[in-house]
Amino acid sequence: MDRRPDEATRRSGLTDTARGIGWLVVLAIGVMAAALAMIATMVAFMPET
Amino acid sequence: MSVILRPGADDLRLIGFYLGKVLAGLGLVMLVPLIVALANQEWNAASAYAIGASLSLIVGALSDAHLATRRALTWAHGMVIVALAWMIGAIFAAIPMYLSGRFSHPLAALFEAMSALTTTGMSVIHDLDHTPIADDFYRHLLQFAGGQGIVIVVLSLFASGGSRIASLYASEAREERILPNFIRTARFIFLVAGTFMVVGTSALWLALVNAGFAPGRAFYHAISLFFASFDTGGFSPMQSSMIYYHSLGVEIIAMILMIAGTLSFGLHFALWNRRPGELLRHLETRTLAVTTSAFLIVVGFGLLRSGTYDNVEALFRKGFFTLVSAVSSTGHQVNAGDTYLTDWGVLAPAAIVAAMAIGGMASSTAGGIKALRIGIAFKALVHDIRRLLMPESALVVTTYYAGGRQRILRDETARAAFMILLLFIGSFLTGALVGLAYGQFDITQTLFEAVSIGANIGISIGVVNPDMPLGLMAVYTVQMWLGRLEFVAVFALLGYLGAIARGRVRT
Repeated sequence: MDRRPDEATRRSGLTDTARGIGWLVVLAIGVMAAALAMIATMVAFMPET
Repeated sequence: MSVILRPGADDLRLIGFYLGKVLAGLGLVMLVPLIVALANQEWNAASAYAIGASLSLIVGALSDAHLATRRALTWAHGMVIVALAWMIGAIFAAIPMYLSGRFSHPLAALFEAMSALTTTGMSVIHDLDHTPIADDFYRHLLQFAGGQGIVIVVLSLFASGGSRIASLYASEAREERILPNFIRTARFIFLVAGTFMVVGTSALWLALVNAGFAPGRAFYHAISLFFASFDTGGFSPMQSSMIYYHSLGVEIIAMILMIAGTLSFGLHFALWNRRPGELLRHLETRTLAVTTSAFLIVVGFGLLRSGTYDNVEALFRKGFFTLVSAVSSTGHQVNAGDTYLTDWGVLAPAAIVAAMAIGGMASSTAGGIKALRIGIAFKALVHDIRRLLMPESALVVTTYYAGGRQRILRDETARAAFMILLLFIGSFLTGALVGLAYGQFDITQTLFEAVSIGANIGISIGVVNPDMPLGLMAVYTVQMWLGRLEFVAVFALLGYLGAIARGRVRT
């Protein structure tokens, strides 16, 4: 999996940065969406107390 | 029999030399709030930072001039330097805090400085809502300095070479070397932090302006919240933490930043390099996904059963936010401290305590036992059970995926993971027992607070406050120090002191 050492430096830094942040926002929104779905399921199935 | 050699004068000079560099770096950090104070015409604060910065810089310059030595840096030196740097650094960082007059005792200022540097985020400051901007900004800036690793911050600025400094970095419990060259690793970490600073602060600024803040004030809150969220610190410019903003937008951006902060630098690097698949395969991500989902179910079930919140939005904004704040070891609060005691029932706070104990990923700014160790401990357990069930002659090999490749689970790795896990539990229990000894709190409160302190989280149930007992404050300060360095460097320091006292003289 290791990339050649100079490969990382050759590509444009800005594109890498945007991609890194893009993936992270996707991940975080995914986590939040999953949590919302779990919470909604729980609220729907929890009997009235 | 192995004999421990007594460190010579050269060893001590070397340690002093590097400690001086760290203090000089801290002195430079203090110049930032000095500029902020001057710009805002906060003269008292400005004089405090001028005194703090000049003291740190003078000590740094003196050690640089008098302690230079040709002795090479070894692993043991690295451990001792880091352990001492975090304690002495916190003491120097506390000087301007104490001079601000907002702390009842010098120990309270040290507690606050340690809390900031270790990205814990517990606060004992008096009247935070009316603190000068420079003082408040300094608290948040220290989280950034500490979160990114103060030693690495300094050395990447000062040092020209690479390999010898790597031992310092590993002693700081950040052992993942992402790039072959150490300095390049440090630069990458700064690139990630710098980029997130620009994007995160802008996003928070927009959300705050949208919530009705004036642009200038919004900027000050945005940058403070960025430091607190991305470096998983948890301080807030306002006493009431995140509740003050009443803004879903601010909460969501803070959650994104907390999740980014808890991700290890290795995974940031993988995302930067088009390898998002790494996330799915890594033992640490999988461990966190399983444990956090389980805790979310318990928190949701507990809150629904106790009838605290009965709708999806409240459960998400109060329950899930608190869980993210706990797992990422940030400590942002969306509940008043005693809510956990009075309104949350028993199940939900218990799940939060467990989530705090585990904390985030190794080699991130998060604290706690770390998901990697929990994952390895679980794998080791499965490994031993498999060995019991297989024929005696069978060779049992367990593997896990981490740091870009499949690794074989070795006994030493498992032993190290279990040892740190046990030491953390020891720290939690000690803190809880000392808290109980004061007779003002019950076990739920002291255990919650001790885990939050020992794992460098910062969610408070109310034990930590400006008027808390000084002895407990001292114990908590040591707990934060131990937790941030994951014990090993501190124990190495104790061993080194033992060697100074009783080691064999070098012949």
